Amino acid sequence: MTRPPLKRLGILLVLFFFAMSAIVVRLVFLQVRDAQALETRGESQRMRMVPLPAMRGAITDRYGRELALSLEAQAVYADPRYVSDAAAEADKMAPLLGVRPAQLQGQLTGEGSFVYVARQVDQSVADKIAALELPGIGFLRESKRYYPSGAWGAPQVVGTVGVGSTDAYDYPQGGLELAYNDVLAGKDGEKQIELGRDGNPIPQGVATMTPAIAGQNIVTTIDPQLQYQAQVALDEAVDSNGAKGGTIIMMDPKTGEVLAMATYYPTRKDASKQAEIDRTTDPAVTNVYEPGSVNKVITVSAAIEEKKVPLDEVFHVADSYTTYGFTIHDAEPHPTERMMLGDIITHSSNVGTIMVAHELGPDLMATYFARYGYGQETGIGLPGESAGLLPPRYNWSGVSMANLPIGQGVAVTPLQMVNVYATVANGGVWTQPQLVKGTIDTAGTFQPAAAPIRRRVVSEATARTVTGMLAHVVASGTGTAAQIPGYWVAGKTGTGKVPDPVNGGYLDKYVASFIGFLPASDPKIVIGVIIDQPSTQYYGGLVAAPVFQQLGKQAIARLRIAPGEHPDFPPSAMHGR
Amino acid sequence: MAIAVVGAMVFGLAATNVLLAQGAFKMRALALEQARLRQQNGELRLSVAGLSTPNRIAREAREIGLVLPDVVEVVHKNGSRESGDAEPGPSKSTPVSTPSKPDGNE
Repeated sequence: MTRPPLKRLGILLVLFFFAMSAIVVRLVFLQVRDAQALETRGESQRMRMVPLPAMRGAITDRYGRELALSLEAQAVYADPRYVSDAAAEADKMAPLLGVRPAQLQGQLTGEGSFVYVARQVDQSVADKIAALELPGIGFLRESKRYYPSGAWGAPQVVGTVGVGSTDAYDYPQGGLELAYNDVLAGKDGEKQIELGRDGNPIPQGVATMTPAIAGQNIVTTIDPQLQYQAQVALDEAVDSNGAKGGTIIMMDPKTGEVLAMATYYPTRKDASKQAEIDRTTDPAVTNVYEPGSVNKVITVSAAIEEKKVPLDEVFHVADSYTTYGFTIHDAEPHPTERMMLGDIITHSSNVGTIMVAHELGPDLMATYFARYGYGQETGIGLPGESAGLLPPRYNWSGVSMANLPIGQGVAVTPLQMVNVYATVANGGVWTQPQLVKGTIDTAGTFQPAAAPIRRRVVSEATARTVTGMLAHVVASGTGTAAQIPGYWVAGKTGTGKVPDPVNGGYLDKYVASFIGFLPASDPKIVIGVIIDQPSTQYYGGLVAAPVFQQLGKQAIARLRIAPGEHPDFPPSAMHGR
Repeated sequence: MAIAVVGAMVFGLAATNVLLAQGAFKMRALALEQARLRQQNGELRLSVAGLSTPNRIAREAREIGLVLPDVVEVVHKNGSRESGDAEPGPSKSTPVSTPSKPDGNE
């Protein structure tokens, strides 16, 4: 017996009604009650915020050629949730990235939704990986820092940039990279992208972007040619003298612009981790040394400025001086000699300089140390600059006036010491050293750096007199190896002892230096050559002065420096004037 | 009439979508081209910077036998020349004799 069709239809209708009701209830749950939560969950699965690191500004030499620049590169990342066959994907990518497949496979099977597979990958390599269309593999734009001149491009001045292990940002380490990071870094942007089921961006999906603003360029004062020549000369001098290290600084005395700042360190040409660390500090501003006789220019210029010692006053100078049981010797034995101020500098007499310092007195000595910038940072703007070590006046003992005037018991950075000579060369005006000429923004507008701080230390007349003495040092004193035929060079030798940090006193080691400028009558360049612990010869006049001569000739050609006039030599009790 | 209007609207909608899709493809291609050119520009900048470095130029110069001049020559406006050992600078003299090591600071 068959059921009446109407009854069956009624049952079907009821069943259909309940089914539809269940669907409607479920829809209400999904679309109303859980809508917000589900939407958020969906977005978190599909949408990803990608940081857009700003392209870092370049660091250029004074002519606009890049010492450091950033280029676009790609970071390869994986979302392990979407990686279907980690072993196969690792096998395909490993040869392109130059790593072992096992290493990659570990990354592809990790926890979480994001892991870097490789950083700073060249675009061409990234293109090859992208062509493999591997599920779960994506790319992020980032930048890679290049230093075209490498070890020859003032690496410790420029500094370096590291890459973060967990993000796409640059981390400056040392030098101008660190000091001017705010200017160079720019402003990062971000981009929101919508990913498909395979982890790749959906072509017509949601994409919003806040563009990154590129960093500004820094224009330095470095002359690349002089920097290279300084580095070559320094390397040769350190190697040929069996030295531990050294520094060469070349400056324009009138503007305070540093044209070259070369330092020597053993790992300079390496690509090792230690080399990376060494590049983060610049010994020209972070390391200090006892300057020795180059310091005498302060003692003598102070005595002249304060009119404590007439130029024609005759001193009877023995070859040793004893005070409080402490004996200072001249560099070589000699009978008691009649010396005027100029002779004392020309022959670098320690005893004569101490006699001059005693006429000056400790208070004025301390005043001129401070005026020339001892015990203070120069403010050049490099990280970690040292102020040097100058004992405060209240800590001076009786011995202090026997060693401080000749450059013992005081420590300075190479830059501080070179700037003393730049002050004399600049007519007695101390000028803050400059490494940055200005910045160039993204529109190409050049913004000059703030004018350097200047202060008068000694009068122009005193500076001229001291210059004559320094010219005499080179003409017939301890600095003859710095002579440049056709040019009058003014400068001073220094052979400072190296303090013993363990036992006190001094080691049987020296820092040989020559700091000078040319032409003496109208200085265009100051060159400081400081060689640390030479082991074959020791005197600044033999180790450093020849390097000055070599660089002086190159600077004359490079900067087209014309010969100047004959400087006025000081009166002499030893040379019949 | 209504069928014609609906047909035109459907056709217009389809055509608009096609044009949008074509535009999107074109934008994508242009973006890729822009990225490629930007990359090429960067590589050329790096290449120029590398080729301009004094160490490279010095190396190339050495290979063809060039050396830095040892004598500085100055040419005045009146045509006269000064070079090498000419006045006004001092003539080259022998460094003062010194002992092998300093007794004190020098």
